Amino acid sequence: MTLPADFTTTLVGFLLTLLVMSYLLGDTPLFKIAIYIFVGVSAGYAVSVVWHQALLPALFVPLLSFSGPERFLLVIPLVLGVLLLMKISPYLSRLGTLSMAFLVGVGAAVAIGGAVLGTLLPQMGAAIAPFDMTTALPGGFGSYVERMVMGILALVGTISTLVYFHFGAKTGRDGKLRRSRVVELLAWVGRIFIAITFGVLFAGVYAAALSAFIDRLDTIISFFR
Amino acid sequence: MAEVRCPMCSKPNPENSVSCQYCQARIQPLTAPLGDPIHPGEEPTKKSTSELEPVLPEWLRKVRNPEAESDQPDASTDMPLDRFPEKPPSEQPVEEEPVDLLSRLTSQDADDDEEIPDWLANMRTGSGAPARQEPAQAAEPQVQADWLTDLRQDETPAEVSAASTPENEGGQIGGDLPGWLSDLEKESRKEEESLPWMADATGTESEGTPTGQAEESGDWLADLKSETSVPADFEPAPPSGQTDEIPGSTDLPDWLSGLTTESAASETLAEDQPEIAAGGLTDWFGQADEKAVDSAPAPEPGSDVDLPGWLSNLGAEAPGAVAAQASADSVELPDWFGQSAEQPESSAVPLQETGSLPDWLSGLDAESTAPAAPADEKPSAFDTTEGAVPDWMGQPAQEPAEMAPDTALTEDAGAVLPDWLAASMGEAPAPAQPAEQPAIPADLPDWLAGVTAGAAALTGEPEQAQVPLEPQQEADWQASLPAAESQPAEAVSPFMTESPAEVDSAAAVFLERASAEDVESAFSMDMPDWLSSVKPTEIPQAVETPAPVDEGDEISPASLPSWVQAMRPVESAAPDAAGAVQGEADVLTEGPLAGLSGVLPAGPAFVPGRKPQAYALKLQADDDQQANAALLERIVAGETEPVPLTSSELVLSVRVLRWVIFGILLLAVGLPLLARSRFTPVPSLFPDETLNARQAVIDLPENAAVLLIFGYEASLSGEMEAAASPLVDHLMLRGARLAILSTLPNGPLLAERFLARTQAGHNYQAGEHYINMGYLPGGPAGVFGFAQWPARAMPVLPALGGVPGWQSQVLQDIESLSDFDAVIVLTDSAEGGQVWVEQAGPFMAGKPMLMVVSAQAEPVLRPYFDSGQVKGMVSGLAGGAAYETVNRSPGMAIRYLDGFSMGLFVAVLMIVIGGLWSLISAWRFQRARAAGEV
Amino acid sequence: MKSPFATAIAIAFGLLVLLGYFVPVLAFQLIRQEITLWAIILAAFAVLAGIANLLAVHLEKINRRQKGYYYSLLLVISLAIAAIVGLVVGPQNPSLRRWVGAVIIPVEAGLMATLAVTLVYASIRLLRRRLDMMTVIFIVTAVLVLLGLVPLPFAEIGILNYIIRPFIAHVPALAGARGLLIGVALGTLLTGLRILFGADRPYGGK
Repeated sequence: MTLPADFTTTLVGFLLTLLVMSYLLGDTPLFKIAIYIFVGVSAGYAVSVVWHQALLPALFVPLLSFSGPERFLLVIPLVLGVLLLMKISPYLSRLGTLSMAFLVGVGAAVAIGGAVLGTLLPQMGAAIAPFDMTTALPGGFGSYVERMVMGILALVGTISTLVYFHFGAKTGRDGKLRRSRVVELLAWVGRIFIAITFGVLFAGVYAAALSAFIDRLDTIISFFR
Repeated sequence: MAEVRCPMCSKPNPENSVSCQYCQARIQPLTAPLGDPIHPGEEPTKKSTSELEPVLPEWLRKVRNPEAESDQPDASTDMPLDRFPEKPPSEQPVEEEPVDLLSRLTSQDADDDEEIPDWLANMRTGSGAPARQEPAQAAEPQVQADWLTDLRQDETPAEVSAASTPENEGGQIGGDLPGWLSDLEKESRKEEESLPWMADATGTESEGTPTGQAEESGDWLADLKSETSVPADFEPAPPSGQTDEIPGSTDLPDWLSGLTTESAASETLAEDQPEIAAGGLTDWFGQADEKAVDSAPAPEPGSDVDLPGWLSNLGAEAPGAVAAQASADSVELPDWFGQSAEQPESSAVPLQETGSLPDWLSGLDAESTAPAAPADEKPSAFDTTEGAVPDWMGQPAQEPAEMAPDTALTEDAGAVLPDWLAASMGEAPAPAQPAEQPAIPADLPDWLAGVTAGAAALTGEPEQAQVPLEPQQEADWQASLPAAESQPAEAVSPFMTESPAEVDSAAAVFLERASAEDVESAFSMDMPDWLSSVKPTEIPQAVETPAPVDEGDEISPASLPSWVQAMRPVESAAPDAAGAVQGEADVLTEGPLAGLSGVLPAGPAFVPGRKPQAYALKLQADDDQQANAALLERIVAGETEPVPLTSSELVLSVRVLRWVIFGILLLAVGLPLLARSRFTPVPSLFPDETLNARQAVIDLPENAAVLLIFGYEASLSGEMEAAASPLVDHLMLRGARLAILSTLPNGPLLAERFLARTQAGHNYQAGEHYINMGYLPGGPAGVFGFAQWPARAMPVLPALGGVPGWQSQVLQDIESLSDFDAVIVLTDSAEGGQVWVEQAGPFMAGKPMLMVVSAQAEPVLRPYFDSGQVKGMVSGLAGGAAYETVNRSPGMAIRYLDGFSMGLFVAVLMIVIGGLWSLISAWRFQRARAAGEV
Repeated sequence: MKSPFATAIAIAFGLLVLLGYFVPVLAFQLIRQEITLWAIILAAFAVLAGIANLLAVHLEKINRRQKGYYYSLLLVISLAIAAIVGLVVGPQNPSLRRWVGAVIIPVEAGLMATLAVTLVYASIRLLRRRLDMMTVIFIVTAVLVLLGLVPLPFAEIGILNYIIRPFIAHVPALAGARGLLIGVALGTLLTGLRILFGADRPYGGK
């Protein structure tokens, strides 16, 4: 579990960091060199990872060495996988449609199940949870009031945010599309909540970027030390 | 009328029946009858309108008399009665005295009147005709060859392609069925299959190809071409003339005779015309007949009589010439056909011929486009026939299926066409025919069956068609059709249904509209404008393309000109005009089934496309739209404008500003790192999520199995390592077994790096204390699969120390996800955390899920913590610092805290100061601009 | 492999997986398990296909000597080396990890680091480019949260660190984020259903 001090790799890392940071000067060739090398190495390494850690253990090893009838079921993903690779060829790419259809169909079903069971129901439940008076709070009545206020605020924010993304509208007498006043009001409130949310997100992104900046700087400083 | 025949199944029904007892089709139309409705099967009342003849202009009478006198038939002599076995000879229509106002006009050729073409007979009986027709078919090829050769000589290569069009092929190719025809036939068969009513028709379709038609038609065509100096483009017109070919009959159709007598160049034609009459239909017609035999022979009459609305629609779009001719030929066309009647200038002549143009005719004119326009759509056939073939004509080629049935019909129709039909067909370009045919059902409803009889009866007065001036004629004819079935003889005079007064008025209208010049031109052999515009050189091209067809084998279906089919009155389509009983809704007024009742209306997609309306070029846009358009225009223009010099300065300032920011940040962050200072106070209060995470770790049992998910990219590895290191350190201190899984390809690498960089002091050994399970592909599906059954999703793990992964100390007791004491997700993206919450959460069985997230993902993932789905969360470097502080184990996060705090502080200062500066500068800019404007 | 068959495949397997979700029958759950296993394997193939496509694109660039093809050459070479070495020695090889880590971490983290500069610059320009209430709310919120994220240098401002920032993060931002999550989930639900109904065919079927 020790990281061998490899001066060469550290130097490479240092140089690549400088090359990338040259982006502050513009889209320089040095920056491009770093990016292209990165993409190539990353993709090449991914090939080995996929082969050694996904295809071999999940498909080929069971298919060739396992016993039992279920292993023959693996022929199906093998065939589908080969068809999927046909996507590379412009002439045979149509063959890959079947595999893509399988992936999309399964992915859609998984996404539906996850969205319903993992997000919709729990989050809707959480939105109304503050109004559950049966839950005992250590703070007494004051805590209940506080929780209710916060819950109302959060509920209004959630609903108004959803309403903001509701684009349904009716045709007015003048023939123009417009939303009802209630919807307009909620949407306006929703904009505020969204602005706040994105403000927090921006702060988070900046904190993350600053962390990366610090880490890179620390790496460079460590290199010279 | 004791009973009414169903238009769909032809079975008799009680007179007042609203719908058919057998097929439930609507019998009584929903539309109110126009004027005096004609009932199918009802005998037309003969009315003597001849006395009104003086009303006609002199020129008209002159035109009619010579012909009538000279051609006055021995109507019965030539009438092939055997073709109508059902009809007793006594019932055969015999015109001895012109009862009708325009009867003389119609009967120019006695033979024609009485001679019932094979196709008609076939249509009626479905059996009688075939025998006769076969010989005729055999004869066709030779003749066709002659005229074909003539045509081909003139063909130019350019038009060869055009030859593929139905018209060209049909007309020019004698024995061979052109490709398009064969296509049509195929399509028609398809239609039969799809449409039950059409399927029935196939059975009834007779093989009645006109006998010997081709022979003369070919010659006639050749003559026509050579002697009349018809423009090449018009060549197709001959085919149209061919439609008049009456198998076995030697009489020249009225319209043809009229042409011959009055045109100077037509002398030779006149000689040939008899042949034509005998031949009746041109080769292509005959071929069409042959081919169409299977498809829908019987319907033909129906097609003539009842043309669905879609035909009228087609007509509406048809080029002026064709439509005009049709209108001219048709004596009185109902409104539905009127749409197609009005045609461009080129068609002026035919239009003028028509005595009174119904409204629909005028409508057609309005809608019709210049002849050239249609050519674009249906380049080949239509081009050749007329200078401009309308769109609707092009449709046949596009929709061969629909055309197929009609082609068969047209062929027959051409053989023996009622006057009005013959006349119209003579002038109508052949190409149009296919388009109209599709609508004809194979099943012959009563009205259709009546048509056959009516057609037979009409043949007695074929000449009438020559000058179909009277608007009522068609109505009469239709009325006669049903009657003819039972009493053919009485059906002879189709003009009987309307009162003399009506006829008179109609004629008056007609006369009013037709100028003297027009009329003359109409009856003279002078080529209509559209004809004269056609260049002879173009003719051959169309001819060349004829597809080889084995004439002997099949009877090629003839195609009825669309305009002829379009003449079918929608209003009279319903057998019983008593439509008053029912609403109008049941009778379609447009679409392929127009005029039929009890059918589902065709959707817009099935309605033959009309010529697109001409819209004003002026854009209809309101002020807002125009303002937006102007704005868009400015934006687009702005993209192409050269970049002002100031922009380079701006770029420079941008770069400078960036470097200034970079320099400030570098100093603010670098100095603390260099100094290894600890000036930032550690937080005294800690976030709930961090405390909960710590508590969850504390609550883990000894030697707990923890699934550690590495789901972050290298870009945020620094932050993630700083945030996760205290928690993982805590886990290791607790002696947890770590199963490391990655949902990103680079994850395993980052995991090893993380352990090596931050947890080196724990001396955790792979296989014994932790195992790097590797990469789990599939995103949500992969997580879902792993959550269901970890060992199934990743069946083979790297063997460490000779021990397979799943048998290692770390995983030996793990069979399901809930066997892990905790799942800790390290992710830098909201999606990465969301996937685990959604997919793996339901399989946790109450075991805690913790998260170490980047600060950028924390706001989005916080609701999952708030909902309790995530028990604890460490967010970013700040969270890591808090965890380290709480855990009193300073590490990477605390080390970065000074730089982080300074960096944030400086960044906020720059944002605030820069923002204020931006505000001020913006305000100054606006103020300066305002001052400048003033 | 035309659309009807592909569509049927997508719908059938999707429904089978959904059945496993909502119908507590062992058979359905086993089928779902097997299908998801296939999806995992296919996803691995998809990664390979994507990389192969990347390689093909840049090889084409090199073949045609397009502008900047030497960068593509660099990419192809680095990819080939990493892939070959990785396939031979395996991705777990410590040396390979070190070298790969020495490339991907500095580059990615360096890119992220530049973002710290760019975001400050963007924030400064934002008020100049667009000044309205929402922009002000956005900037003010961001500033307050940043200031309250960790104690300021040399001092801790309790109201920022322990009142304002937690309130913003736990109430309005939480509400907004929950609204976004529910909205996204609804969108996912609808999109998934459209796929399972065959209305959407993102796999190429028409």
